[in-house]
Amino acid sequence: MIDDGVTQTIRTFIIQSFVRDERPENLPDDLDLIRSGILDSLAIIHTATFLEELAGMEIEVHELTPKNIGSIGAMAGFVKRLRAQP
Amino acid sequence: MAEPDFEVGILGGGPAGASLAAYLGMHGVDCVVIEKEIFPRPHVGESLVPSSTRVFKDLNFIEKMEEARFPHKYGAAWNSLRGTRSHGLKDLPDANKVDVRFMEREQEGVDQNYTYHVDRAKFDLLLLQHAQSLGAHVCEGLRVEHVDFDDGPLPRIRTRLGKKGIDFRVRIVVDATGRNTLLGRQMKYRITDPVFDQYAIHTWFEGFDRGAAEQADFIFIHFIPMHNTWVWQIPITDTITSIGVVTQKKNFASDKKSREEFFWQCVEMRRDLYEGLKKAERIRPFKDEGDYSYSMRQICGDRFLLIGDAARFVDPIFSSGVSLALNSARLSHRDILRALETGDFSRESFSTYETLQRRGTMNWYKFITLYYRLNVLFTYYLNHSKYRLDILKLLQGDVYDEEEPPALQKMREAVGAAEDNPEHPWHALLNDLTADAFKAAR
Repeated sequence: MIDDGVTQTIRTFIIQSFVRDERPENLPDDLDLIRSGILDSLAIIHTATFLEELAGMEIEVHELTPKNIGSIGAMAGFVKRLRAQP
Repeated sequence: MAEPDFEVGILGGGPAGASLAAYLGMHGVDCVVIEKEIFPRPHVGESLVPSSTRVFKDLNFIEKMEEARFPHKYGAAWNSLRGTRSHGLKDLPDANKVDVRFMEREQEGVDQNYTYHVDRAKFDLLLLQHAQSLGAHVCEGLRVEHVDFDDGPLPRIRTRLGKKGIDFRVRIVVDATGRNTLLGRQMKYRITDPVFDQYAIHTWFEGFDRGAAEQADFIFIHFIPMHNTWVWQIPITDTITSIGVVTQKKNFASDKKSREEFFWQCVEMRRDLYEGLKKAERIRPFKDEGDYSYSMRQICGDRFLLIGDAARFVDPIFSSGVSLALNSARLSHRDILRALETGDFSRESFSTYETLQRRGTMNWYKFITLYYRLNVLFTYYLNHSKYRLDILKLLQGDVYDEEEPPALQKMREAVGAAEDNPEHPWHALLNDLTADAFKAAR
């Protein structure tokens, strides 16, 4: 699996912030981070702040849904969509 | 028309009544404060917010606050418990703890970066004496029974001392009787809050270790894993700490012994706090407080005003009570001075006060409501660089400028987003305590 840069940054953030002892290969792009308990309600706060910095813009609370932040892949897609906005 | 005994009669000598008397005294208005207790007497509500400073400055009272050596309050901290995480994942570094320092935001009219925690017996006495030194008449140990508004053009305050009745004729009556809400009850204005029915049990401990020096004089709010229940930790002196448990009425047993057991059960859920308190000595009996959260259909009328807790009481989670009381005196004294000058004592003549006071208490109320409704949002916006100062503005007690401050708008929209989308990861965290808060009666 070859990550693009954004995905790799997100994966590194998730591992370093919430699952320090986990190996990257145990966190596939499509792993449900919310159901698996990696992203609990407070971890979401940290993640949202991180994604705002990565995307370079404010993220609204209504955007913090599984579709946008439920997995590493979802987050990468979300950040790319935000960055593509005019 | 018969001459009044005093221009203004203030019922109650707590922070609202005493500071109003001080304002009026400074302007040479002949006023009387009628207080049922003989000060000093203990009272709940021991932590202030920085909007108090403006009133202390107006009244030249800062020096006395400093002389009294009340602990300086530089900030506030909230501890919540994390839910247990699955498969032993690493905990976030202190994500469950948020704190603020007041110095992070400049506040108009306030030039010190701290406020105070106070022993209310001492504070209330000092403030009442200060009012007296500025010319206010103070009668302690005198209980007001009723105010007659129909007996001639001037209201008559009826009090009783033993078997003897003493009456006062005044031009304006101000109800500052706190949660007794004397006029509110007499007029049947009182509306019990449809949502909040909190009760509190509290006491003082000597020798409790408040931890690291840089935050030892903060107020701490400790959340415990029981629905809508939290514990306050307020420094009273270098060695004395006030601890109180606030919970919903239904958790509150009718007998005293079980209530004390309840206090310890709650505290025990915070291991660190419990162990600290077990090593300390309790130096006061437990006391409980009810009558939490109500509003009034009307806070002004012809020849009367309600100020402080007598006008409205909101849940004390953000230490708003004393500061609201002091600022209600600040706001109302202007309308009172104008009324005395123009001779117009109608309800309309107090409308500036009514508007600002309602706005201020409503903003506190909305803030508290949103806070209970979705606690994580408070943490979120307080940690958010763009909104932190907007939240801090509320925490400082700057609640009078805007109909709905930006921080409240933001939080309200965010609550709406979590409410509307069952898929939202914070949907499950929505608390049932605060439904309909924005529709609640003013």
